Amino acid sequence: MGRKARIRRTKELEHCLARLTDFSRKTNESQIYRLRVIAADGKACSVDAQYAPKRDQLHPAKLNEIADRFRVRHDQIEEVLLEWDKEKLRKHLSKFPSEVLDSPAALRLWEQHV
Amino acid sequence: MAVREGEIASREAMSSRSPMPEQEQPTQEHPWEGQVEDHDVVLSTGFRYIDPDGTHVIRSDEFDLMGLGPSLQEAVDDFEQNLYEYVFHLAMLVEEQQATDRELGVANLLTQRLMQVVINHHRERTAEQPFWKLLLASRRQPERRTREWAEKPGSGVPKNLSTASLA
Repeated sequence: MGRKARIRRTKELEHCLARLTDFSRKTNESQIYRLRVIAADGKACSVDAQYAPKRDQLHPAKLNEIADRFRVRHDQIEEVLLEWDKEKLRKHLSKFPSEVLDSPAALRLWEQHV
Repeated sequence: MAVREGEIASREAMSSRSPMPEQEQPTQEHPWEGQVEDHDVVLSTGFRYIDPDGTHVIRSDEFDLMGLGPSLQEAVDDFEQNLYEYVFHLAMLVEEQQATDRELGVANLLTQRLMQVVINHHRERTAEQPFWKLLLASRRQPERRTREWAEKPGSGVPKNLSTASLA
């Protein structure tokens, strides 16, 4: 990986996600965090992050997935989680058209738009 | 376990014959395509890979969902649990009239797929069988595993993601 982990505990990740999103919902075992975004083409979109503290280890793959959802590079995610605020993240996501924000983050279509 | 030289030679011969050599295991850079199924219903298509630390990772290419686990089966179980909880979240958004167009579409699609799982499960349970057979089955056989990962035919060929690097 070559990345020095700065987020080491589940609670830290939960705290960061709560700070960066509009609201969170507790389901059975997961916490789902949601941020509403107006896309560059004016359409209402949302970006979610799902985290199940009981089942998910604080694994690099989980952080990479959150990076894809937030449309940032994998090596940038800890900076985003620790240093950005909600409005900065919303502004960043608002640069993308709804086609990108509505597409599955795993496909990384967003990289073609930055 | 020792691998015989002949086996290695035959594997090499096979890989040199195929136009695209098959990978021994999927990696983050070259994941394998497939789908998560339950009761013969495709819950989501996606791709999977094994992290250098041995963790199995499944990611959907239809929705923002993933599953992690020390084995492939545990990653499938984690994926499906995440899917249930995501559907619950979407249902709540719909009820609160907060869902976006995309979320409405996903909620509709996943609800249909999960309903088909329920229907297939019900059919399987109520299939006509003699009472003694059901009794024996319940005592002697472990419950059939219904959740599984189905590799796309020709697996081993890396999925073509939109970018070359996933670093």
